[in-house]
Amino acid sequence: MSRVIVITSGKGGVGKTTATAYIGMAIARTKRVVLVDADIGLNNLDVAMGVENNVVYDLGDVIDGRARLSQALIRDALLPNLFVLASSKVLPEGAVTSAILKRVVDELRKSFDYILIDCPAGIENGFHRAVSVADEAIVVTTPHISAVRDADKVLTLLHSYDVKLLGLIVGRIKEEQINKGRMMSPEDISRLLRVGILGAVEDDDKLTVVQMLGRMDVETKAVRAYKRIAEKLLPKVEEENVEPWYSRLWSRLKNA
Amino acid sequence: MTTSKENALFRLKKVLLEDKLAMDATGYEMLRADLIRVFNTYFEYDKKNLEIALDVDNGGILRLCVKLGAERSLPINSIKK
Repeated sequence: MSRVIVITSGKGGVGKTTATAYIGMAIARTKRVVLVDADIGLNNLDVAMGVENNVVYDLGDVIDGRARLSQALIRDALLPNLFVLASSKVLPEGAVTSAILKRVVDELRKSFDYILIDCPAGIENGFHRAVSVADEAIVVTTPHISAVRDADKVLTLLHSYDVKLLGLIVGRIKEEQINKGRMMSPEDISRLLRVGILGAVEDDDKLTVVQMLGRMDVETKAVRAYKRIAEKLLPKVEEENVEPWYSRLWSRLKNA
Repeated sequence: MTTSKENALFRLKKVLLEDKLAMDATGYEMLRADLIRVFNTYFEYDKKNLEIALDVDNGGILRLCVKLGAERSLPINSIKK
């Protein structure tokens, strides 16, 4: 059964798209993953994934019937299990309703194990549209007052949806500043918002530079943190092995 | 002197509370002053150690935490109509 996870934040520029990209990449090593850019008009997931030159059809073309969903999916050059569905640059804001997006997501459920939705910033229509089609949600914030405040508003809004909250990602943290008592720690933020931490990601200049170059195959502190988050989203080995040991033994004996 | 972290936490708690209560800083101060007036009327206590904290959880439940080291409560002889 596929999982639809929305990555949201409230405030823009906290690292939602980066989180979506790198968590998706990590999960795609073992599962089929599609990253959906739900930010209509301010689409950036294609750029974050370095596939902006490969976009022939996008979400808008699928909705308008100019392309089939399979035609709009861009396969990642490095990970064959990873696909990107770019958002539309031209579609008018009101043209995509929750029901239309849900139809697209339901179609994706048939082919993918994980559908990660990059939610637009803000708490307007775009937010509601993205959250309404998801099963689970991750809230991204940074140790800045404005970002935490917006995350709190998003958390309050998430209560009104049938969405399971997976936890908080606190990005752009600086260990040195936290240790000196100058910056709020992820634990401080978790206590204030009363939400468990899914992961903490250090401020990473190397990742910023690499993203500017359009490369994804890097190993930095932040990327390792996203990998740890992805591991938490993957089922445990024993969960996947649904057949109990005695059944497996019986099967082996029968086949011997 | 407070650190930047302590300062940020204090400011953040305040704005989160204001957001949840839909109450600005003046409203909060008025509520606090009203509570102090009530305590002053009915309790003898160490005024320096009075702590009042308002908090709202994500479910929207308001929690009022008061730490009051009262020596004794004053008898209520009559209540105004």
